[in-house]
Amino acid sequence: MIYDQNIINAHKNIEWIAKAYPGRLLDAFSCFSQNQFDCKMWLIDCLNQYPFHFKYKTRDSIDIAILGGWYGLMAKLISTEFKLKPINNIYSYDFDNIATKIGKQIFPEIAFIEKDVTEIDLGRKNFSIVINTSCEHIEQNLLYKSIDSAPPKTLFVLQSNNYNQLQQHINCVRNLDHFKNQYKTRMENIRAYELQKEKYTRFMIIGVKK
Amino acid sequence: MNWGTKYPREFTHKLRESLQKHLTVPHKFYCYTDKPVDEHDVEVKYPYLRGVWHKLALLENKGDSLFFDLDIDINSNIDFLCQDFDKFSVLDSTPWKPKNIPLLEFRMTQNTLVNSSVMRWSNHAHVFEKFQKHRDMYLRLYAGIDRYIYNEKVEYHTIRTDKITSWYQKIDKSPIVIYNGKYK
Repeated sequence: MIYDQNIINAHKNIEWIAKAYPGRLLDAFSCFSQNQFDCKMWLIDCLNQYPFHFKYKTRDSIDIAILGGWYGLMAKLISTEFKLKPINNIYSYDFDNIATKIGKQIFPEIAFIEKDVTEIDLGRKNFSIVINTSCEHIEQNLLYKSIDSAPPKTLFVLQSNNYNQLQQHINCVRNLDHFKNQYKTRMENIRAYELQKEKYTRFMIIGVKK
Repeated sequence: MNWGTKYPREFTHKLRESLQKHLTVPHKFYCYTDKPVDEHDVEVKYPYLRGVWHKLALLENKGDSLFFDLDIDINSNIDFLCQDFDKFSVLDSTPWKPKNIPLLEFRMTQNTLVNSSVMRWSNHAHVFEKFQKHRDMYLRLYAGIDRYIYNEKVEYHTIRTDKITSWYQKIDKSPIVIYNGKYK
């Protein structure tokens, strides 16, 4: 899918980012790249077809959390493309305070929260869906801790990959089975997907916490 | 620090010999490496780090410490470095930095005016701890530790002396000549 500038007109904000946070301009370009856009849209397409029940699915609207939300691309795309339910609030969490400031400027309708993914107590929130597209960046025990803290029936959408070349990628998986098996004791009704990219394969699972 | 395959072991031996000759202050020589062989070798503590980031982990070592990159020449006495260990110090790179880099480009690329070919410290583990806390973000944002130190408000001092020069300046016989960026 071609990057839809009607959804995210990041370029109109380039001048502002260049003036306010010039050191983040290249990083923001990375966040809003075609590849990032494709991976996020793939997630939403799959999520929109998820057939099983999850927490608060019968309510009029739901809250969604994005963990490691960066400059807010995932949150923005969810706000416009998610079809399963009307959305009450979308929360984009990231410990990077500059990313959240830039995100607020670009997408004022999204709630950006400066917080480390590992410090969010999901048990105290009412999220129906929790999305984490950067599992390869996070230690496995912290991912488990995050899931364990969430209420039963919370729908988790997780992405990882097998791209070991980047030193930020400390928790890659070998293949889709490896990724799926990491969560089969914690989740049910798991749907698993993979997307072949030029240099690596991206993996995704969607499942409900037991 | 000798990590990876960039520098043959001879670079380590040459640095050790240079220090024996030109640093008269009593000292111990260690080389942190992923392939310990020699008596002075110490295995790197964080094997998941790569390249120059291992240099930052050295700051966990307490006590008066000097660090030298392998790609330097030591030509004469360097005892002048053995002072002010209470501050975390790196080199001031402005003498050899190109002066014509536009400010916006400099800031966009998270450029730096410090150089860590020579470092000095004693009790500064907090610099590495700050990096470790949000390592993922810093690795994404910075190509190396010089840019991290300069742009992340790390508390540092600069060693400003004409006794340490860069090969860019074409001054061959200063006590220390660093070859930053020469060996890619």
